[in-house]
Amino acid sequence: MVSKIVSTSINTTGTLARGSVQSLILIIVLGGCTSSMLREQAPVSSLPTPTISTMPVPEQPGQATQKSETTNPAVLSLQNASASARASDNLPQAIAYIERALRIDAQRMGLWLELAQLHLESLNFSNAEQVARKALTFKQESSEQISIAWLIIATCLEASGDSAQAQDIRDYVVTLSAGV
Amino acid sequence: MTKRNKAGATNTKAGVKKRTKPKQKTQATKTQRGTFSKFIFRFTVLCFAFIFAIFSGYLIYLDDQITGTFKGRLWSIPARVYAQPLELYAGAQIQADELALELGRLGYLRGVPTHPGSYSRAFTAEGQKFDIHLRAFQFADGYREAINISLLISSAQIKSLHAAANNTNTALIRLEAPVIGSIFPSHGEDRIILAPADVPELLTQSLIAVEDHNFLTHKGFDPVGILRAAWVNLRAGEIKQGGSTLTQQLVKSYFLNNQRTLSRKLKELLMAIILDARFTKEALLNAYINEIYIGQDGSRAVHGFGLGAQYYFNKPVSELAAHEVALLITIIRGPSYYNPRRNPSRALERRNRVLGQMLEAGIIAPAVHNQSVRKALNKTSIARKGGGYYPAFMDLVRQKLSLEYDLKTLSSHGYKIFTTLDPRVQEAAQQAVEKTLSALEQRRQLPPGELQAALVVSNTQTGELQAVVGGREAGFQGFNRAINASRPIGSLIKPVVYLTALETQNFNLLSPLNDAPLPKLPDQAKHWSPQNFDGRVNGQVPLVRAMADSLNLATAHLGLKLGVQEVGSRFAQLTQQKTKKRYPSFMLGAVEMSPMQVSELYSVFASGGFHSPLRTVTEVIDETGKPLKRYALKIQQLVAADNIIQLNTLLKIVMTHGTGKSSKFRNAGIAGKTGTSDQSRDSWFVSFDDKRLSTVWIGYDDNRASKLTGSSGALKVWDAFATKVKVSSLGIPASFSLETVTVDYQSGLRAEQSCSDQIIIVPVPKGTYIYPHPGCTKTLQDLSNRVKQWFQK
Repeated sequence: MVSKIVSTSINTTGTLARGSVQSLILIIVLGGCTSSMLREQAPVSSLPTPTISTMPVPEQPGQATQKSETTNPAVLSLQNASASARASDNLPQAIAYIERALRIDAQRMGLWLELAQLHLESLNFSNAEQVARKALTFKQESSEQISIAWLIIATCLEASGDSAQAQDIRDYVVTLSAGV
Repeated sequence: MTKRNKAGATNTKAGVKKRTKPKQKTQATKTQRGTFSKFIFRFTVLCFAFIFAIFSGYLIYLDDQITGTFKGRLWSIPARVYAQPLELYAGAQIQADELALELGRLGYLRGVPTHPGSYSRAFTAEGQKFDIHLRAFQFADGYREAINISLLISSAQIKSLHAAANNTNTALIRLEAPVIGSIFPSHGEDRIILAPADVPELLTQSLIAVEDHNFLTHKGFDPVGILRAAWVNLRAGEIKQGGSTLTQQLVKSYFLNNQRTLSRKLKELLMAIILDARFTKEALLNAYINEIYIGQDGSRAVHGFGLGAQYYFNKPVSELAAHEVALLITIIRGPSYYNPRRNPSRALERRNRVLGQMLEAGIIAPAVHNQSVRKALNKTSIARKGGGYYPAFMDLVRQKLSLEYDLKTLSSHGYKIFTTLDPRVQEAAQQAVEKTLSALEQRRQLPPGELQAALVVSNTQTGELQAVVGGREAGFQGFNRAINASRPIGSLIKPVVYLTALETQNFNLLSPLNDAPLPKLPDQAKHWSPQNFDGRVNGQVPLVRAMADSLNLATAHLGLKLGVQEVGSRFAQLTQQKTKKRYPSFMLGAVEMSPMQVSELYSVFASGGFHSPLRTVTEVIDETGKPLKRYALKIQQLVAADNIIQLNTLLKIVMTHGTGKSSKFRNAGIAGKTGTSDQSRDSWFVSFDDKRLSTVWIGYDDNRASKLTGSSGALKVWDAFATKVKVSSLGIPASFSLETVTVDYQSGLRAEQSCSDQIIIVPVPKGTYIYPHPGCTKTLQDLSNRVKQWFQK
């Protein structure tokens, strides 16, 4: 999933272009690291509050999350179909498969993240950001999912010209990754 | 002209010769006669040449008209609208009876699954086993070939799913998407186009045998057939047989009208000859099969055997049995006269005569004939109207499509429209409305048949509309209350008031509110003095109870404190409407909305604070299967997570402790809100869980009082609906900045079960100090001491 997220980068004109996984990891990680060195860390309270797990046991930021439930084979097959459609550059079809999977299981954070990623690749920044925000309202299935969601949001904000907030979010992601 | 002049000159010369001798006169007469004969001959030739030229020109014109039309697009094909297909996968929740019902709805026959559209069902030790021969189908995302599958259902769940060809586990497979309607012009034609390969030989052979013996050999018209028909009719003393060939019938149906004039008959004859000369017999027969008028479904004219098979038998033409083919051939002779619904005995009698002709022609064996004539008209299938139509939902589909397509395109290009309707949910919704309204009228001694209702059901997370009921007679195309009935929403507005309060961060679920009469404000021209529904005054109450018990006084106090325009502005944002000037009564529901609009408002709460326009259409593809348009899910966050967590907790407590507690599902973990307008004119109930959001409205069309509150009316409809579909608990996520506390419902003070009989658990901002309930002080102190002692150890 991380590789999917980072396989989309922003060039200087603000449009997205696919690049190699390695170079994009570099962009995100370096972007986050550089800024955290140069800028004051954004107050977490200014960011939308991530919500996880189900009541009444809230989890702490950075805490290892519960193991995800066994993935439904039907959902998995649709995720695979979506990946194939994406690989053949048929993004609308890839989105359609994920939406079909959501009809079966709309509570899976991973599906919402995939949908956000596909909207991002379709250059639909507004919807990608909103879907990523929605993903944050579901129970995470792996520890990296929250970071991924925030990175998608940051990418969308940057693409829409809000570089400052995008940077704040990247800083926040660094603190999450560091378990601060 | 020149010839005439020459003739005139001759006559002049003859006139001169009149004065000559008799011999000369005879010669002159002979010459005159010869000249006249020549004139007649030439004139006749000229006339024939002229007529021939006119006739040839006419034939060329007809030929041009026929070939031009037949070589191009033959028919306008209305867009066909499909519901969501049923997804089958291991783990899917479905009863064996439900699956059988769904297969029946698609026209599958129970038996040996040897051909597409058939299935078997067997009871085994492990559960119920279904072997299904699925039909081929063009989905929006691709074509699926016909396939054999096998699945096992036990404890209302699919336990295993196999593709029978290789007996391997299959993760996911769909039944075909059921047709729920077509988009055609008013009083327009509807048809399903069949290619020659789609038409079974049984049909083509029977059609020729019954309608046109010599079809394969005649040249468009059949003089022998005409004489034979005339003889048969003369002997019978009534019209028993037609003399028109299939080609003539095709011409009449496709190019001409029903006028019985000689000129029309001649035109028909000429056109039939041209058609026959220009096109192959196969092409003509196929055109006939697609063209012929076969019935009337309201304003829709049913044409062709393809749609005829669906309309009368709810199955594709390839799956028709001999008696069904015979009935369709019967009907085309006179769709009204032989209407199997209105004139069943007449249709049956002729069907059996047709079956006799099929036997005589050697198309069916004697055994099949004997079996077929004993078959009834298959009334169950006939009553299904070819797939079941849902007018209220279709209104919304048309509305949506009209934004991007004109009616001409939709009614002629053969598009396939895939929608979000879930037929199982829709049927459950319709039944719940019909049964509950009748029961309410009976129980409360209300005039029977007058109470009306609307019900809208959508997917909580994706905003896809699963069911829309526009009135108690859901199958009737009439006033669609789900969209068009704008009624005061009563207390359904209250969550907006409480959300506005929570968003100020000056209130939490336990904040005390004043449930007391309102004082007259200095700037008020008229004293606004709302009352609680039960007329009581409760004094100071916690916010959670004010909302759950739907207390008008406490809400009015809260709303006035927040500001009417502030609440109005938040309402406008949540409903995507323009901000209007609002009056205080707005905060108690003096605002009119349709059930659809209410659903859209509550969908923001149900989906965790995200607005998503309610969707009906997901994809449009063209007749070749090429995708034309996808309507992807679009969402926008309107409410922050912490606030939605608190609001949805309030709505869950409405069900467990408040006005929704009379529901059978009060402890199922769902969220809900009742609403009642002034004098009980409108009864509302909205509920949601993790999967579905439902909005119910009950009232009278003439706006008179129904004497039903949200709890005693609309809630009952929802209860009936929820009994048929499954409900699931609404999961509310936890937040970093909220903590849960256990309090007494009545007072909102900290308590536990040993000291309060109405305990609720609510989220409040971290660090919120909550006073202990008076009777609980000692218990809580003891607990605190015990915890301290445990840590000290």
